[in-house]
Parts: sequence; structure tokens; C-alpha cells
Amino acid sequence: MASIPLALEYKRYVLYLCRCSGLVGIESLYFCRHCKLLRCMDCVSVQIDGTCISCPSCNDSVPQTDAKAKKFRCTHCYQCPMCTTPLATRFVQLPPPPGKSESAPDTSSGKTDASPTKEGTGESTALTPKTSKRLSLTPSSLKSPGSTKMYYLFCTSCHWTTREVDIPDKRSLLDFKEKPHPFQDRYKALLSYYKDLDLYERVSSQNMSRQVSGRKPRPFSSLLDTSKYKKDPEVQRVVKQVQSVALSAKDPVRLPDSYYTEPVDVSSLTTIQQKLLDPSHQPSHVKDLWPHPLPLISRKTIRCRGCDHILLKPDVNVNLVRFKIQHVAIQVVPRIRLINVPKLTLGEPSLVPVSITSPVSYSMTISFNQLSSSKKLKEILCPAVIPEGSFVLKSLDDTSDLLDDSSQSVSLGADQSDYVLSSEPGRIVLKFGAIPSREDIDAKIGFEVVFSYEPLIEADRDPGVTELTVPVIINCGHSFA
Amino acid sequence: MAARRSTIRGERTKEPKNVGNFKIGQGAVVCTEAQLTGDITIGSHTVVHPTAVIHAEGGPVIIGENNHIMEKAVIINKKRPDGEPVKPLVIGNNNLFEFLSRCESMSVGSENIFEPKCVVGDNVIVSDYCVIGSECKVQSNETLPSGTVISGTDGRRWNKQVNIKSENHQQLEYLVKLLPNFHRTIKST
Repeated sequence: MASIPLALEYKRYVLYLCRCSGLVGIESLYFCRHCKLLRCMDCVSVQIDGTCISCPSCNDSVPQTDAKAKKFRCTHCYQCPMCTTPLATRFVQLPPPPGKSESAPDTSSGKTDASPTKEGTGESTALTPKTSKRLSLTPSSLKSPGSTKMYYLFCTSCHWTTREVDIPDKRSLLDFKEKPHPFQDRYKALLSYYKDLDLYERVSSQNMSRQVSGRKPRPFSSLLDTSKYKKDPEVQRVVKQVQSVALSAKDPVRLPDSYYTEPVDVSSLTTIQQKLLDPSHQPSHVKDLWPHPLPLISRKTIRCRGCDHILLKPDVNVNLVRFKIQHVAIQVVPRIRLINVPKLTLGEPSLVPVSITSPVSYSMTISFNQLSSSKKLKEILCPAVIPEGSFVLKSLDDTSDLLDDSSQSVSLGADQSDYVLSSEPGRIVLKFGAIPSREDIDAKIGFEVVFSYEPLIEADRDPGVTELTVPVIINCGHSFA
Repeated sequence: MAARRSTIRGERTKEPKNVGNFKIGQGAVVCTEAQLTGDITIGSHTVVHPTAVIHAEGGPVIIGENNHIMEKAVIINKKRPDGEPVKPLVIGNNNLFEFLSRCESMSVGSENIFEPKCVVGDNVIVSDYCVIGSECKVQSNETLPSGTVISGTDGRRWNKQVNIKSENHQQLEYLVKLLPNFHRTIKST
């Protein structure tokens, strides 16, 4: 969710105004059936369920202690370093090495075993399971027990492969490893050294406290105090030396000449996002990219902030994705869409066709009000022409296509047919209007949708609440004089 | 609910009028529901789905072998201004034109993928092994070098170093068998 002006700059055309004056898409709105209120992500309390950590790609659930040890990353799923999409696996089936199929064994079996597969991976840059068949390889030879599958990773979104960065094809998916860090050994050595030091200091401090009983041991925090070192003549001498060197360097470090002479190939450089995906290496060139282990996700429990009822709860089983019925707004609130981007003329009322779809199984009554907006909104919005009266959307029936029953269409008042462009069960297209007042910003219209509400569960029925209201803001696009 | 209507709302499928001079290769399947106009040559084992659009307005369209042109994909050889010579639009082999892609390119090489809703303008030359990502638009006056990948919401480009041949031969073989059972096809000449 973003502030009002910023949210309207998004490519979203239809946004719903929450009670907290945040603008969100309908898919981010929750509906609390106890309070009968619509709530956005900022009006609910989110509770992260640490016990339910899983990989979004392979759905493998991981206990919390294991996940911490694995740095909250999946061990056998990788994401594309180009576009962060989970990588798919593809394989190339290689024929059995010629030495094995023949009865007469070769002289150096170990070497021939290794060399054909190496050649195979080299060739297989252009080989696929199907194309390998085309190269006069009979299917029987592929199914033979000697044939090997070689795997590589492939991004379905941007077509990046592990072959791009010269990672050889592997026999198993587990053979793909994270890129070793250049200072990994040094880190490990330092870590073990400080662990030893920690142990030594603890033991020595215990001994000291035993020996000098009654005397308070010197706190270790005093070691971190640097103020006393500054007075040290030796330290001062080094500082002066460094300062003199820094000042004497008149010529700054020059970049190599190729920086100025050769044209920059932007497509071979990485973006900041791609660099920050791998903080330990930060590759600056596309050739240095490496598949990253996929980050694990935990599930959230979402509660209504008013009544503390659960709106969304993760299932124990990771594979299940269930929505709580009537807890998301998409199942209660009519869906509003802009049919096409209208042609707007500055200062003149222009037609804005808007479709309204009912998600519910009962017939829904819809009416529209002018938006009683705040000052901030009034600056952004332009005057709108809104259909008058109420429209009844009959319940959606899947068999209506076959029956072609005219009685199922929307029932209209006497003067209302002027507003209707088309109607069918569960859906109506209405004519709205916008009068663009400014040329420098996109024309936006706002109105309130008042719709009837009937809860599915009898216990939730409240005679006081039969109608709900949600303010909607539509970005109609740029207007021309 | 999504498959509620077989046709797009408000738009009834009309029987398209395929007018022109078609040469269709051996083993190619071109459904009659596809809209073809003008001088069109289609190579062998190419599959043109129903509702695909191929217009040869500014010159002939020559499509190579093993191409896969999906539903609502549009291939146009655009009408040139008067006085300019007629140029054929030559499309190579093993290309994939996905759903709602639009190609008005001057020439297309081989092994390219046009993902859904992509647009390639009429001043673009597409070489081999290119991928135009979904909703990406290329409309400038340029030649896409071999292995160019354009993808993402910001249309980021990079160049593939390793080119992998397309894997849709199996699917094409299946479609060549399947499509004539359910659609009328334009017979190969």
C-alpha cells in the first residue's frame, strides 16, 4: 500500500479506498464478517508462523532450527540470478559411451568412462532430448541402461541457463552448489579462532574471580574504549603518517583507457538488484552470475485489528492453499473494471465504460454515490458523472449460456437504460463520465459503491447491516485538449 | 467460471474469408479458421492454429519449416508507402509465435520465440535465437543480434551466449495429427 498520490501513479486503473485512507487493489482487501468491515494490509495484524517454513517452489517444509542452519534457503531449489524466478530443471539424455556397449573392453576403461560424458556435455549445448533423437540416435539406445541423464537449470521467464556461465551439466540436482565465497576459509578460521578466544576468556575470567575474591573483575567493555588509544604517541604518529600520505596524493587513481574509448555494452552488465541478490560476490558482469538458492518463506496468520478474529490462517500441510470463505473481499465486493482506456477531452464530459461483476450467489443491488472525499483527494480527482438509481445484478448461473433466458438479465428502472451499455447475469457494463480539468495529470474519477450484503452463515446475519459501502477511484488515463 | 463462454464477450466468431494465393508445404496444418490474406507460403510441418492472423499486405509472407503459430498470433507484412519496392517477409524455421503475439518485422530468422502479447514493429529485423518476452515491445529501427532476450516489465535486454534449440518438435508432431480431427484445414498444394 502506498500514499494516495503515489498509488495512483501505478499501472493499476481501479483502486479501492480503505478506511485508513490507503489505496489498494481488491485482491489485497480482507473482509471481516464479524465487524462487517473491509480491511487492507495496514488495518490487520499479521503474525508470522515460525513453525511453518517452506520452500515456495518444492513445497518442502523445513523445521525452524534446520532453516536457520541453512540460512533460510532451500537446498535443492534455485532462483534465476537475472529475474529471481525459480529455475526449472531440464535434462539431456546422453548415449552410453561406445566402450561400454561393445563386448571388447577398452584398454583404459576409467579414462574412456570420463571422456565421452565430457564431450557429450560440450556437444549438448545444442542437444535436447528430441534433437538428440534427430542426430541418428535411436530411441532404444537412449533407453538403454548405459545412457546417462545430465541436468541443467533453465529459467522459463528470461531463458537464462546454467550453461551461460559455464557451469557444466550435472548428473544429479544435488550436485549444483552455491558459488564458494573467496574468503570462506578465512571466515571459518576467524570464527573458530574467536570461539576459542571466547572460551579462553571465559575460563580465565572465572579463574581470576576465584583468585581475587572480593575484587570486582575488570569489565571487558573497557577494551572496546578507543579514547585512551588516541593519546598513545605511537598511534598518533601512525595517524599523522596516514594523513600526510592522503594529502600528498595529488593525482587521483585513473581509470583504464578502455573506460573512455570502448562503447559500453549495457546488456552485459548487471543491475543493482541483480548485484544485491548475491551480497557476497556482487557480480558486475552477466558472465559472473550464479544460481542462488531459493529463499524459504513462512506463512502468516492475519487477524482483524478490531475484533481479533482470524481472517487468514496457514494450513499445517504446506501443499494446501485454502482461503477462508468470506474473509477476503474478492468474494463479497463487486469487482469493478475499466473496459477500455477512454478518449478524454479536456473540459468536456467523456464516456468511461465500467463493468461491474457480482461475485455472490444472491442477487445484488448496487447504487453509486458521489465520493465525500478529503481535501487531498479533491485535488487529484476530476468531476465525475455517475449513474443514478440502483441496479439489480441477478445471481450468476453457469447454465445461463445454454438456456439463453431473457428473464435473467438485469432489471432496470424507467430511465436507467440510458446508463447501461450491456448486461448479463452477474455482470453489467455502465456508462460513467469524467470531465478532465487538468492536463498535467491523469484524469481520475471517484465514487462510492453501495452494494447489498447477505452473509452465508446464519449466525452472522445482522438486521442492521444489509448494505456495505466501498469507495473506488478509477484512473481513466491522460486527457488531451 | 473462466470457461463460461467459448467466445470473447460481444464478439462472435465469424467465418473468416481467406483470400489470396497460398502455397502450403507437405505435412503443414493450416486451419481454415485462421485469417490468411494475400500471397502466403507456408513450409512443411508448420502448424497454424485457428484464429491466427497472417496478412500479406505489403508483399508475400514466406514462412519456413516447423514453425508454430498459435491462436490469435498476428503476422503482418505491412503495406509500404507508395513508390517503395515490394519486400517479402521471410520467416525462418522452428519459430514459436505464442498467443496474442504480434510480429510486423521486416524479416525473422530461426529458433525465435515470440511470447504472449509481445509486439515487434515493422522496422525491426529479428535474427536467430531471440526471445521477445511477454508484453515487451520492440518498435525502434534496429536489428536484434543473435540470442537477444528481452523480458520483464522493464523490457531488459541481454544476450544469450549459449543457444539451445527449441523443443517443440514433439508438440508439433502431435498437433499435426490432432488438429485435422477437429478443424477443417487448408489443403497443402
